[in-house]
Amino acid sequence: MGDLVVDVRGLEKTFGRFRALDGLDLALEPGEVRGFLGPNGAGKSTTIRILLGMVRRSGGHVSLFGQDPWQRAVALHRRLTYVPGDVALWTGLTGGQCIDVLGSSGPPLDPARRAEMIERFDLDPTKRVRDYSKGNRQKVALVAAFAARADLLVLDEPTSGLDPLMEEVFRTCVAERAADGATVLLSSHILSEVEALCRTVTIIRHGRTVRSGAVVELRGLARTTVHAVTRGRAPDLAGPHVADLEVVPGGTGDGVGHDHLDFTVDPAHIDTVLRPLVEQGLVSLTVRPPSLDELFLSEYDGTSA
Amino acid sequence: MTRSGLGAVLRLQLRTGWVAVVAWVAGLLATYVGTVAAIGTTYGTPEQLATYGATVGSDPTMAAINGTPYGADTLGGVVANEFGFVAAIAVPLMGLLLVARSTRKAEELGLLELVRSRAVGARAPWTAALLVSGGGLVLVGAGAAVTLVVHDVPVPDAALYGASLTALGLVFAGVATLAGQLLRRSAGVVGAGVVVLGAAYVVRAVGDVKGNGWKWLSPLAWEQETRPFADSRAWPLLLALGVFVALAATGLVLVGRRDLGSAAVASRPGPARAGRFGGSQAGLALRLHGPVLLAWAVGAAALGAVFGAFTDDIDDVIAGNPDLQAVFSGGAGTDPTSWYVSFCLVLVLLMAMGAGAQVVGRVRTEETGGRLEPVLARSTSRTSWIATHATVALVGSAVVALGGGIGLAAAVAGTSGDVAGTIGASVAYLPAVLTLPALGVALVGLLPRCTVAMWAALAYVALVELLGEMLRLPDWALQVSPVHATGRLPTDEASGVAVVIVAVVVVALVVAGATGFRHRDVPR
Repeated sequence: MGDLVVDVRGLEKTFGRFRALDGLDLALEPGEVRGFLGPNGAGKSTTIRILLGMVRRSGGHVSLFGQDPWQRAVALHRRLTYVPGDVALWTGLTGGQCIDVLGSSGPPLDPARRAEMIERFDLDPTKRVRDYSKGNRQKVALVAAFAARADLLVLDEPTSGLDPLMEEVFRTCVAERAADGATVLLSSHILSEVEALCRTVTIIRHGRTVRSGAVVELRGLARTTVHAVTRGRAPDLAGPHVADLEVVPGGTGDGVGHDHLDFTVDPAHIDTVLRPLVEQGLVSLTVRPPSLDELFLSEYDGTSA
Repeated sequence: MTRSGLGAVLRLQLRTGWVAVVAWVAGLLATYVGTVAAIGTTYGTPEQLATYGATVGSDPTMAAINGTPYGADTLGGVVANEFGFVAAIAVPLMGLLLVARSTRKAEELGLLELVRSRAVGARAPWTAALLVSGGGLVLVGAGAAVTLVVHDVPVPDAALYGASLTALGLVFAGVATLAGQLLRRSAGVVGAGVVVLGAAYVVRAVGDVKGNGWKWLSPLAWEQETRPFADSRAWPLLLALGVFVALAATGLVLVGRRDLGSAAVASRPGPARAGRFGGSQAGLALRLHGPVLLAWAVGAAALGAVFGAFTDDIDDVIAGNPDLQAVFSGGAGTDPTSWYVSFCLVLVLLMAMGAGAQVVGRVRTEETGGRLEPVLARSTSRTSWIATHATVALVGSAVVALGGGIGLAAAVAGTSGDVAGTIGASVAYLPAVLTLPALGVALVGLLPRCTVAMWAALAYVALVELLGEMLRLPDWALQVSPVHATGRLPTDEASGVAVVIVAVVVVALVVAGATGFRHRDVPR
């Protein structure tokens, strides 16, 4: 276990009588890019603040690079950078000054990367913070984060307020840092962003981890949707791997006597249902692969098993 | 380890906060240097200093307002007495505000979130704030000491005085450090500090007038009781420094144990619906400013009542001192206590002006905090918004002034003082009090980024009222203060013309502010 970058087990946090975290688990291997998902108020930001040593855990285990983030916050912060979703900066300073102020402690800024990131994020570093829009304040924090070579990037809804062009720049930068071997924890509500960047995800709800694993594996948990039209009579597909089966017999609707079938199937057993369909002669077949959105949404509202 | 990153935070606080530190140090030292120079001219000879000691130095009104004068027959002692009120209010406020501004305020605004994600420990912002404010306070103390030495005051006396001033400010920096761990909002931290300061001032005054030990509860007494220009003694200084260390250390221990953004006093759930307040602009404005104004009104009434209750003590001492009687009978009033009542009234007026300025300051933060835009995006007109808040600020100021006046009058009623005159004077001073919130409204409308300038105006009025004549400011400079222009009430008759002119100025400022607000960009 000592090799884990982030190791959280049974994490608990109470604010007065309110239980924000209730036995949360989260583990990141070195070099992993992990999506961290959950509905509003699930405890994502609280978990991140505990990881950053700003909030103290009420119970459970938490370690960063094998050390306690509350006790060793300062030393650990030399190895990580953090981008919050709501960036507050000093109104009187310019964006460039803020980047340097943030860079004066923690992982050192690389001057060449600083210039490159300002260029790529199209940031005017001479503007005062009070004259920046929300998106531009966000860019200041992103430039400060990507201009340093940190071992761990903690990103809490980092693209809120960014335009789609800048969102693309952000994705490229994360991918580059990941290619360099950095570990990334990405909390986001933009599912396409998570799908594009993360191989693994952790989904939490009510302060607990409800699902965690590789995106490919999760895809396996979601069901494939099939719509088929058979020339002959529809085969009887009822079985353990098929659900939501609906058959519209020929003659009742389309006038040419074809049977229509709609069902969902466990992706691992798709061949067992396709074979009988093919034998009956297929007029048309539509197979929709599992959508992560549907999986996420069912985890979010708690309708999944 | 948690102190690491101190250098980075220190540089950041100096870069974003140097203006405030320089303004405090320069303002206080300029006032001090001016006072020393004026007194050096007025009381240039040992005989003149001895006269001061025999009259003003034994004046019980001075003991109540400025504290017991020690060594009032030396230049240093006379200056310490004349500067006593400014030192007792401004130096603690400097320590309190400088610390609260760069710590709780920054935490409340979310500025510490990114900073703390870097290699910066929990204590670093607080330690840095103590170093910056402490540095400023050392400059104030050292500047005062050097000024005295230039005027031939012995070095050890001057140094002890300077150190006492610094230690007084440090105690309140310590109060802010501790309160900052207990309360979530910086306004609450400053409010708690001001309550401690008000209590310290009243307790010190009770001790000095009644001659009892109550004053030892007050940090203000620790400053004065080093008696640098009489029988110098260092132990009250050590007491002050010890309390500072205890307060600051407790605060720093607590900050290392709490979550970022949290406080010992946690927030409670509230009602889910707005109720009778939220339905209207006026209701929302009252909800926003009401508690602050109520606190000021109660504070002003309490201060007025405590000081008013001293009126007979003052009368007795003056009656027993022929030199003092000669001083007072030279004035326009035949009643020596009316001069004292007038001085107490000025303190209450300054509080009322401060309350008005604070309300306007909060109105401005509605805009900078982004809460104004959604309000204006609804069917609320700009004119009605600014008019509502301006009304609350002006009426609130007036309520605080009248509350203080009534508190003073009620206490005076139990003594030989003039009750009707006290009430009448509070009313006649109202236009003068309202100039400050009115100036604030004008700034919000016309020069919103300069709204803090109203505090400089308040500092100027206080300077004129408390030291203006001693500093021998030119007549026009005195008359700029609306309180001074109105006259010294109830000792003298109010100048009717002046009251009308001041009232016209108030109306003009409010109208200018409202007009400017209607025509400018929001937010700015």
